[in-house]
Amino acid sequence: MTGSAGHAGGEAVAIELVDVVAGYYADQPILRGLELACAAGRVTALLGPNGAGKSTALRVMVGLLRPAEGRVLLFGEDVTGRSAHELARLGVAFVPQGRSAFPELSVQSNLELGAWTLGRRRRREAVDAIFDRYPSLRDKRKVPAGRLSGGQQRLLEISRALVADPRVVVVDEPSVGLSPILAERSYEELRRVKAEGRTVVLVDQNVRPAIALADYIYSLRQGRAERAGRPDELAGDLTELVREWLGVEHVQRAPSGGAVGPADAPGWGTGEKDEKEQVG
Amino acid sequence: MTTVLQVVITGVLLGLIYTLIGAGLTIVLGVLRIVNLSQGILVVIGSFLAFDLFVRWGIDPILSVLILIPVFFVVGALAELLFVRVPARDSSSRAMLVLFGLMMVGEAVATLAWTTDSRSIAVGYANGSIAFSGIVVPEDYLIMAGVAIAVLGLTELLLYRTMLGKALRAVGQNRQAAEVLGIDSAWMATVVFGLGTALAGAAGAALGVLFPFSTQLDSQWLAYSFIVVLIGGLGGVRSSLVGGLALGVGQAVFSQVLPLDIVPVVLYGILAAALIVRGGGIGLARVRRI
Repeated sequence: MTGSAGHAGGEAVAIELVDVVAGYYADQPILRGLELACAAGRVTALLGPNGAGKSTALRVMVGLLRPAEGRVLLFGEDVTGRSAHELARLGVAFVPQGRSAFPELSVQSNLELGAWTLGRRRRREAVDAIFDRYPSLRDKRKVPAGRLSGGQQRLLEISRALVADPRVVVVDEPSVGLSPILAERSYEELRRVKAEGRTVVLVDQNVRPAIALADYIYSLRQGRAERAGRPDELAGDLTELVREWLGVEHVQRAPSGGAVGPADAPGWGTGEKDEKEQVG
Repeated sequence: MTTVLQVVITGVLLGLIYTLIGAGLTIVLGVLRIVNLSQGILVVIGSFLAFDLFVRWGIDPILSVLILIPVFFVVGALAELLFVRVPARDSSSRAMLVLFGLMMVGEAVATLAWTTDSRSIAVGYANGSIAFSGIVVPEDYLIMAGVAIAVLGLTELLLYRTMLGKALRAVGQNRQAAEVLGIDSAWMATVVFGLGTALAGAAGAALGVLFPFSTQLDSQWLAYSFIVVLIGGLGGVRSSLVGGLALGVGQAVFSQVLPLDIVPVVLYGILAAALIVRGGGIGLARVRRI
């Protein structure tokens, strides 16, 4: 993979990371020169073993983590170092991993806050539109979000991210902690978001549904994009990819644990990109 | 029986004012996870300013509350911007160290301005009382409790009925989730600090009417606001009300059965015991989070 062009090739790019180095502690970068480009109106999935930097990449995209090096571009505009609330105003929505609904606030208040960047009148309209789209939420609008079931909370979190009509929806682990049926509902919502023509960037441990949803896939390893392509381009490798993926999962769940890190995971295939750009 | 009732009523009225001190601490702690150690000296400064306004311009402390709330709000917001924001980015304990420093500076400045002499605000209603069916209620307690109810009610409305209040609470419940919705959490921290400081100023004016005060009273008010938080929890005005009323009634009852200088010792003892038994406070209130 050279540069960021791989994916977009002619299409408009919504979010682009250029040579990004980022981490939570100085001298311990998790992203080590990550390059990726997410095409506008498409679903881009980031896959890879634990510790590859998938969630970290998302946090950089939405402004929750400032990269130490490199640039973040939003529709061609350099937004490196902008804070999360500024990026939200520019149309970037984020559904983080795990519970993120405000538990003590009602369903309606949660949605109203999703429309925080809109004016008062538009806020009301936007929340009403969400209630029309999800009648089950309207029925529970006065209930504190913390008292909803896990599936309903996930629905609230996804819909809250959509209230302000974002251009880009960044989703971290849409199905984690949900039963298969509820997970399917999450994907159904994401398909709908995709059908609306929004840009979606997705990180998912649940590889198969992610591949089914994605227009383009990046597989990350050790903080870099190791492979990239459309699902059909990767088709030959996908089975292997998934197996490797599950293999890594399996090994990491073993009681002996810690000894096996992502670095020790079996190879991810082509090896077209190696470690020569290693940072630090 | 009437004595018991009278003690309880006095305790409740006092408790409403303690709620005011505690609510400032609770809101800042609940939203920002920072203990505002300068809360006590802010209350004391509020008392002195109410005193000055009364003595120099004859402004009644009821009116002073209206003046002090916006003034203290601005002071608190500026203090957050200038002194708290940067250390808080690092850790809340660092911010608390800075606030401890501000408390010391505030105490020194207050002593320079007003000396260590004790004062009291001699309003017309200070010695009046209202009696009904054998129960005598001091007029100043009644009036200041009314002021406290008004201020607390408005605070509750702000937090629960306005978008700003919802955003403040959202920052307290999940700061990053609030950020990604477009809420500037740093600006919200400034507002919250202003709000907590404003409540301390209002409490200072109210307490200045009820009790004589000096610049050394800050540690007592800080301890009382701790007690309110530890008893009531971090649920905002409503939990402070639980803590404040428990403290007020407790103090009134203990004052009847124990020598007066022992009462604070007993109160602090309960505070210490509560901390030992339940590190996170007693959390009597049903609302656990702001």
